[in-house]
Amino acid sequence: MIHQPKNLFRTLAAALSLCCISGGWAQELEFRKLGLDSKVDKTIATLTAEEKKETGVVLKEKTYIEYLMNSKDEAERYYGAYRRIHLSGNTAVERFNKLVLPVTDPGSLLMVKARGISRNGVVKEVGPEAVKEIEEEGRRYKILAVEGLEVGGEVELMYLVKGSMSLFGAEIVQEDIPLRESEFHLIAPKHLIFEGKVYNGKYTKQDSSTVGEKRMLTFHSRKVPALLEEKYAAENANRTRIEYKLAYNELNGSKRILSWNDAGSRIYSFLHLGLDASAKDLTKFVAKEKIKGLPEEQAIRAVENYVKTNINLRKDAEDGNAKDVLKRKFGTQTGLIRLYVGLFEIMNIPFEIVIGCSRLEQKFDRDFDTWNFLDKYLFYFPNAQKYMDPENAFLRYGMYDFTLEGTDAMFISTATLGSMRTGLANISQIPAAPVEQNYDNMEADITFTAQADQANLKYVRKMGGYQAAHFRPYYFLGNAEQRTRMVTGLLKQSLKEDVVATNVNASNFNINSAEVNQDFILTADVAMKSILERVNNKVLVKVGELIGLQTEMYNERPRQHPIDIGNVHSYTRVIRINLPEGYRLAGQESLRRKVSFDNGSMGFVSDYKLDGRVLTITVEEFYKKIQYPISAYAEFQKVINAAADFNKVTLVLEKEGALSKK
Amino acid sequence: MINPMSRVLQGLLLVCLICPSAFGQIKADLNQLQQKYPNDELVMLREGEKITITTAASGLKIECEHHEEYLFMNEQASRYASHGIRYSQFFQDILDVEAVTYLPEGSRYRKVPVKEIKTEKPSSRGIFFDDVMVRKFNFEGVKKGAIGTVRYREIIKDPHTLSGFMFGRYIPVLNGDFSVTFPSAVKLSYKTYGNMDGVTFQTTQSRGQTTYSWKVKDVAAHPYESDAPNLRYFAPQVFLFIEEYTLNGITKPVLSDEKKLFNYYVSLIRDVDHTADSQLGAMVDSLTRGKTEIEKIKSIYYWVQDHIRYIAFEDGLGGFVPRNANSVYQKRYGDCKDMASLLNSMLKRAGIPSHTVWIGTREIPFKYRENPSLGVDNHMIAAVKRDGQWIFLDATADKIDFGLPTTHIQGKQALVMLSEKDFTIAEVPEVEHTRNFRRDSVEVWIKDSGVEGKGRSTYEGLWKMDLKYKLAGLSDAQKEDFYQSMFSRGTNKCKAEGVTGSDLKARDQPLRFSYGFQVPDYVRTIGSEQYVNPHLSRPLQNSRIDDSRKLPYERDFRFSDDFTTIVHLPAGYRLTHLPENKSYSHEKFGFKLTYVHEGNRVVLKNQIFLKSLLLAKEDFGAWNEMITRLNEAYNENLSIQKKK
Repeated sequence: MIHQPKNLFRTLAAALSLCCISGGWAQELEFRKLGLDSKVDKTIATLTAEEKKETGVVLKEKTYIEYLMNSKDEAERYYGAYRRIHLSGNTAVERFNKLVLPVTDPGSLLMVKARGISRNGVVKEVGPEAVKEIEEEGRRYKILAVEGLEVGGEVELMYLVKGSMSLFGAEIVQEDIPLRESEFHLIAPKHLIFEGKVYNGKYTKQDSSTVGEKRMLTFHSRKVPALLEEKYAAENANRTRIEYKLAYNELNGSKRILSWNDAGSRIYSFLHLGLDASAKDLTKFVAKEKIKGLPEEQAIRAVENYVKTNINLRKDAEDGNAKDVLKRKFGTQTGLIRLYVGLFEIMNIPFEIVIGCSRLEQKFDRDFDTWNFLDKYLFYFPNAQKYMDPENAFLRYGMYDFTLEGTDAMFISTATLGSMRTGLANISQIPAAPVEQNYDNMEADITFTAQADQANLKYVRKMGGYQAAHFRPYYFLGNAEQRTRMVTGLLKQSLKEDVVATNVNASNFNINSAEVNQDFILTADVAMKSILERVNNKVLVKVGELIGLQTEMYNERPRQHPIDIGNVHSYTRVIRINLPEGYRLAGQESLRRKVSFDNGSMGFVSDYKLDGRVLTITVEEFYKKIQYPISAYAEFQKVINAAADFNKVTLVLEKEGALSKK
Repeated sequence: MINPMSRVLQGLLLVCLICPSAFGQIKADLNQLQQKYPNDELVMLREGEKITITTAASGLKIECEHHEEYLFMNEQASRYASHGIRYSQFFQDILDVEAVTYLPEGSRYRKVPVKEIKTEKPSSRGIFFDDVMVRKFNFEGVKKGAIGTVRYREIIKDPHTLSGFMFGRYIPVLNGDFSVTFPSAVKLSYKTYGNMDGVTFQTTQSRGQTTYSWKVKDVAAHPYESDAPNLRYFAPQVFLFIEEYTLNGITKPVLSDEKKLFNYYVSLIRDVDHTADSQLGAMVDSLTRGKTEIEKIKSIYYWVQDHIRYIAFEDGLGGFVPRNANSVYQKRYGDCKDMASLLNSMLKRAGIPSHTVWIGTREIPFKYRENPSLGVDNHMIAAVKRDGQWIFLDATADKIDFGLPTTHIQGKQALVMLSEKDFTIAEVPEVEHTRNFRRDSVEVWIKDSGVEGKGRSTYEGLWKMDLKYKLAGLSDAQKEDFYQSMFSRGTNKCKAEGVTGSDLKARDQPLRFSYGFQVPDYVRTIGSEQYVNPHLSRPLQNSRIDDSRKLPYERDFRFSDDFTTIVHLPAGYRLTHLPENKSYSHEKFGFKLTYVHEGNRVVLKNQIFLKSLLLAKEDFGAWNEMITRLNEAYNENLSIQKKK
């Protein structure tokens, strides 16, 4: 089980929900009652043939999250975890010989024990005396080196921590090694009603019960297979996991708490904090930078360009308000968003705060209102119906993190109640970018040297949207030397290693100007030898390699995950070959290919036209949908492999007038 | 007569008129520097260290005043605003940290002191736990033209750790200054390394104190490239040695030469007992019973490789003193010196003489004589002597066979302990290219328009070790993918199948694989002729060195490759074209490609070798020419025709 800590709003949530609680329950924790630290089973498990194939197997896992009221009527949260793992290979030994625990307060590690159990049942134990502490980027961790581990033996790890207060979270059940049995218990005083939901949970059963004055949610998982890694898949989103949240506090009424609406109003206030105090500085700023008075979209761009260029993200700084971040030139994610909020408010630009999560990690479930889905931020501008991504310094207005494409998210708009302004939450979908936005096109005009031993290309590359975002911002930020290296690297990777490029020119690379919405254009004169092979009096032109080396997808095992393309995109290549004098062309029929499926939502199409001495080849490859079900895998493979097949296409130039035999 | 006082007053007046702020000389000509250093976003206006050594009743006091000034050259300034001072809590104290940002406003600077300096305990790469701390802060409000300054005092608690200074960095340094002031009771010497031409040196005496000072100006940024030797190979450096000091009538030696360094190391490990306890002893006895001496050594070495994991605790003296072997055995983990300690104890128990060895890895350029200080080495291993040769046992590399040095100590000097009083400096050889070989032999048959084949691959020496590391930690599924790409022949349509390999865990024997493969659409038919490209493997095809590369190119090991391809001509066909043999020869590298037509087969043999760990800039042209020639050869085809 992997605990997944995230999210700014834990303390916020706690503050909101746990006031007005009474009752003194100084009871013993259920995890402690298990007494796992005082007894050890020295028998080594016998593995099945399937289990032996993996580097390790999680034999047993118990996780307890328990909420208690202390003597001061304050709610406390305890996290107890126990795991026993069989180590079949060195990789497992390496992985489990260190324990790392995120622990904030010195007094909060209440129990820790790590046991190495050798093949013949000898136990080596280490406890709190072996614990060291480190701190990274403002976060403290307790670390422990485990003794006595060996291949064929087992390891037991257990700890009990008094955690920082949090009323929602997730536990990941499935990982990349198999799991025999796992229990997750969420225990709280009767009046605190938690809800849990299992995702991808065909191995998990959910139960609830009462234990004295406590209410307990139990999730029992058995024989969970190892999570398989596959290309074009969102494995993490497909793994078995449990999301939970506090839904009701019966001592506070019957209204559902920590709802989407609560989040909307809370987060709105949180991100507007310090706005009044910052107003003067922000007003001065927009005047000085001449942003004031610009038309709306230009103003948004100007703000974004300034912040993304001049202000840095620092995870371990203080949050601060807009004024602080502007002055210091750095801030946390919260600080930066407050700055954007402040600037848009000052200029009366209507916006909505959008909060969602990466579809590669979690699918946002609008039917389960846990704040654990509120992870990544965007700004939405309803007038233009466009988005801005405050977290990605390489993207600009109109473009946003592709992992949010096609996902549900919370949109917080401003509601005015008299003189009060508050946030109104609404769950809606963030659209996928249209395929026209993301393209990577190429045009090559090819001539040959007299002896036909070298191909000379007049090369033009045009990229837009996401495809351009992989290259353009880095080109923009690089110095002259770095730019040359980047271009050389790009040409080698897209063509062949032996390219020699001259007259290289790049245009539209200033991402802080209107250029960012135009084609990023790279032109060069490229000389290549390696696409030509010689045999006798014939020259083989490996024209298929001009689309770049493609990888073939094989079918080793049945597909486990549905398909996720990443982002929609297309490639259009136009190759014009000027046939050299004295040569005859053969083999062009193999240029005509078409593989497409799902009504043309994905495909590879190539064709040619011969006009006198000019052969024009067009190759189009497109992926217009982000996700496909497992059932579509065979077809999907065909399209991917069609590009790899095209790499094989070879044209033959035969010297005219020569005999065809040696 | 000029009143001397008035001159002083005049001087003061002048200074006040010039300086825009209370701090005086903070200024920079941004435009001029941008022109001079167009490719740099950050420049050091000043890097200064001033060491003062004094003797007090309590002991030697070594203090270093640090002074750094950075100029932020463009709008991306805030990316560089974060700063940290790393130090070892056990060996150093950092005091009085003062950081200020100077923000340009017109022709003046506005001074913004840094208010928040945090102390954190970070993790260090590859080390589980140590005593390194960091003082962290952010320069405030930085923008183009801003200057960040930081000053602090460093107390060096142990005179053995006194190091020196490097004149050069990955960013330009406009002014570098380093000095050391010491009293007569302290005997101090220094050594220099590298080209000190641009560094000016001066000695001054004043009131019984001697000061050595070095200054440098306008040092260009050192290029940063991958697979290049460490900065220490290139930047000029000075190393300081407190040879001895006299306090209260007693003279204490510190460091000055290899002997003194050895004595100091011995004093650190003196109390480490190499006697195996009953548990460890019993294990060693059962491991070595009835074996010859060489078998005993191998069994012990391989046991430590297989059973002790690398977890490094380097806090305080834990970075220098190995832990007791019995403890390492119980815990089943340790760092390099713990493993060396365990090896020595186990070998001792087995009656085999072995030695403690200190050594520097290849990222450290110095020979012991050049820099006999703690900066000369960073690793500890064990060694045995057989047939007059030293065999180094580095158990931190767990995939290497006995008898081979690990890649990162090849060519380095080893400080071998012979006894508490005696040592020798041995040299670790670079493994010859013939020992690190890769042989691949493939036979193909033409089937329809494709080819079908089977092959055998053999890996030995450091090539084998390299492959074992790549395969370690891969799940079965990942291994399949790895083999697919490793045994893919011809084109990306190749499907490798039936891969079987010898036991990855087996030692002292080559790693062997056999495999089959199919490559559809590999043969081209034009008219009555068929064309087959026999270069199903194309080693070094993409290994051109970039023309803009500035620094030498470092390799992990020398190697020799041997690729043989046998193409069986189909029955009823004759060979109509056989390409010409090709080769290239250089003292450090070369290849030889031959084609032989025997009966109904064509045998292609491609032998490539690299005899050096380092390609200097002068070699790049020749290397790239070799790669070009190889690629030209790879483009050639066989042609066959049906017999009438």
